[in-house]
Amino acid sequence: MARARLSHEDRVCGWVDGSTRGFLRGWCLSPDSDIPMRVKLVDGADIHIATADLFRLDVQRAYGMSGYHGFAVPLSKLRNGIDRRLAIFAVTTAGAEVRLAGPRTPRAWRRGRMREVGSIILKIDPGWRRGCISGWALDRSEPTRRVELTISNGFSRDLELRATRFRDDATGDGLHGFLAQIESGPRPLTLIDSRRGVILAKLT
Amino acid sequence: MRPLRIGLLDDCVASAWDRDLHRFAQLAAALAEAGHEVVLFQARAKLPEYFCPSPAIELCELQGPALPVLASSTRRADIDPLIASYRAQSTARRFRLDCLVAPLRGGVSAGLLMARACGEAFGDTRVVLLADGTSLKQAELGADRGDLSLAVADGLERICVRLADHVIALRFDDAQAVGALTDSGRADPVTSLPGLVALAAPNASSEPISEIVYLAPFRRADGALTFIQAIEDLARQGLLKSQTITFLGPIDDSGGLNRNWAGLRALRWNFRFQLRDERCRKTAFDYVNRPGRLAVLFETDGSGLGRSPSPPRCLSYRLDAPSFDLADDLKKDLERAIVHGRLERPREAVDWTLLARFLEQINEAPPSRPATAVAREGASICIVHRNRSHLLSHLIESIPSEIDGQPVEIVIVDNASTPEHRAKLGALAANRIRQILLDAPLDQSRALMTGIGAARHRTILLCDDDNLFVQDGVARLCRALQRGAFDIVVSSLLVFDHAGDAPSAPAALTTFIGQAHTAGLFFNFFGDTAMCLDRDKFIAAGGFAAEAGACPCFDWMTLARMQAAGLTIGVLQEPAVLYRRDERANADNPQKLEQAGARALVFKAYRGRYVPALATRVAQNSVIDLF
Repeated sequence: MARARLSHEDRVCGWVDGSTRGFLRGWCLSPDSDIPMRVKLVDGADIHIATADLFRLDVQRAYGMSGYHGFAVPLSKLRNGIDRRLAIFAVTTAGAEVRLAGPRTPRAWRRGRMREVGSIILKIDPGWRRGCISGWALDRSEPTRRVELTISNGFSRDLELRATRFRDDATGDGLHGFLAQIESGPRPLTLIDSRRGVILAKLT
Repeated sequence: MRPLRIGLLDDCVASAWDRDLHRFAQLAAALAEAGHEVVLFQARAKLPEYFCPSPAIELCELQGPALPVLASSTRRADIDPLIASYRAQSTARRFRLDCLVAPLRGGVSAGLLMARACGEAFGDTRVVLLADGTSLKQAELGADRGDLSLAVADGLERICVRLADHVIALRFDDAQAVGALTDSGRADPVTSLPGLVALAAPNASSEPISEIVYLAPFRRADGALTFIQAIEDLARQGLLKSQTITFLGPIDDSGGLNRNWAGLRALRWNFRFQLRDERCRKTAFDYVNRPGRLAVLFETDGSGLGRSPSPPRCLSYRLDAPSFDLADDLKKDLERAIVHGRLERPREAVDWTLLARFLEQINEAPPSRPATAVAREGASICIVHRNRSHLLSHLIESIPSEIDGQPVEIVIVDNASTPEHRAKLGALAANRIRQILLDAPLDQSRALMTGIGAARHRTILLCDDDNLFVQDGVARLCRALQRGAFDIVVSSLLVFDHAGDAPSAPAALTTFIGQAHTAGLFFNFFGDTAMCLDRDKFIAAGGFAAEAGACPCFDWMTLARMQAAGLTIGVLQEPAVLYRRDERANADNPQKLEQAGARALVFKAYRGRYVPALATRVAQNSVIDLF
């Protein structure tokens, strides 16, 4: 018998069974529609999208729908395997995400500093001292032009990069992310808008 | 000319656009103007905003039965075309149509044509298909769908080509693609309609181009990579100084080309760009219809034609058209458009009034009817029984004593049941029941061949002893076979869960393709053991092979062999059989469970009669894109 976790607000039913034979399995459906839903897995920084369209006899019997509502995600796709950071959401046709399993705020690890300098919004993820800096930057006055950044520590050669990586927490089309390797150590970092020569942030 | 009632059926699957426009909306307007009644069938009953409504045009949403519709595959995406085809015929039955127009690709009209060939419905409806490429061609072009749907659609399209009255190809290469589907015995399936497709007049606006819009789903198969290569070449030449590049269309983040990929690729772009995940085709076309915007359209086939008027300024390309280097062609065309304002690749347009006149023309002649091939001289029902006399009585009660005045005999092969069951079987004996009592059990195929050999009539029905026929199911199966369009007729099944001897309320409906072609290599899309067959042709093709009875899913293997031998398989769309689903009994039944083992045997049974390009493409995609 299918076990259900219900979200009354979004009319979504679903369950994550766990892992068997190399797959993370479960099911989800909307009682209002027989159309298979999407499942979103947030695995640390990685996001995977799967379709819940595998046949489940237990779901068919329990809900009287077609039963094509199961999902099976290969564990090999999940970089961190099944750990406490893995969050699984059912995505409704309207785009709402209903949590099936995992932390309530999977993006909590991304809570970082957000600042506005002129027309530029800059967000830097926490943990930048560990040899890597990431975040996103958007120029609100020209959202189709990607922000060009210079990262300087005043010691080694400056890093120049363009913020085009996809971030699902960034506004606009989401292609405003940046990621760069930096020398780990106590030196302060300066982020500069290369085109305008404006200092966006000084990190210490 | 009397007013006609014409159904226009849109394809319901394979579009990446969530909200799409009915592809025959413009044809509907032309027909309504000529005084005909039109029913627009579509997946979602949504009126296109730029389509002028008329009292002569009725919109109808495709809806299935109240029961969930299932098929053999365990994955919904695989069977979407089959379910759409079932729903289309189920919905269209509510209307008395003189003519129906449907696209060939996707095979959405297969269920309707099957119902007509089996004599279930649509006897007075002519069916015209518009060939806009085929699923086989899409697979050869590298469509990257990670499921079986292309193979399923290919099987349905072959049925359509065989059974339709007219197949009209939009272009010469479409006619060639249809020709590749005709191993079903139809020599020249394509009706020529010269002038149906013509190039639209190019727009001569001299306004500078400020934005170049890629207007298609963001996928490799839809030309996204080709467009990116051309744009990157232009940027290297310094020609993209003030223009913004916009990718407008559905973006699927589970696909190979997704936003993550775009973000990494964009690290090398120094021009302005944006990705807009737009899933409504109407909104997307409205976006490009503004001044200063140039649309670049890629189409893998004609499925976009008719859905929308051409944007005022566009470059249009077909990905399946022969080209030495499409990216280079596009780059040169864009360069001419940006520098000189010349647009040299106008979009094609369909002359719908020409098609409307053709529909009027073909409806002047009476519809053709198939000749009866099998003499109506009664039917024999063969049942193999073993220790289930308590269920058998329900099956026998469901069998009529005669069909259209012709006798129906029942041949029960008792496969070495225990004395108690054999005694109960004896009590069931009546004039029309003949019993063959076996002392030692045979495997199912041999037992069935024993029954077939003993049958008096050429029309044979088979049924497992735990299933039963619906009211008039036997008659419908026999009539479908005796119409002569098929050598074997199977049926959709009404599935009920075992909860005692008597049948419980149906829980689902299972449907089949019948002549499954390449798709049948992967799952049993052919049919169940409950079938009606022409004994002479069945035995000439080898009947149930001796080894089949011991193999898993022997009905699957046998029907694959019959297809390989050239026999045709039809499917009753409305269920004729009530199928008992007994998960507890089947939990340790290797014949039901071992699908992988069955596939190896089915592969042999095919004798090479599948399309290697399609089978390998489907297998590749299914393995690589497991989710």
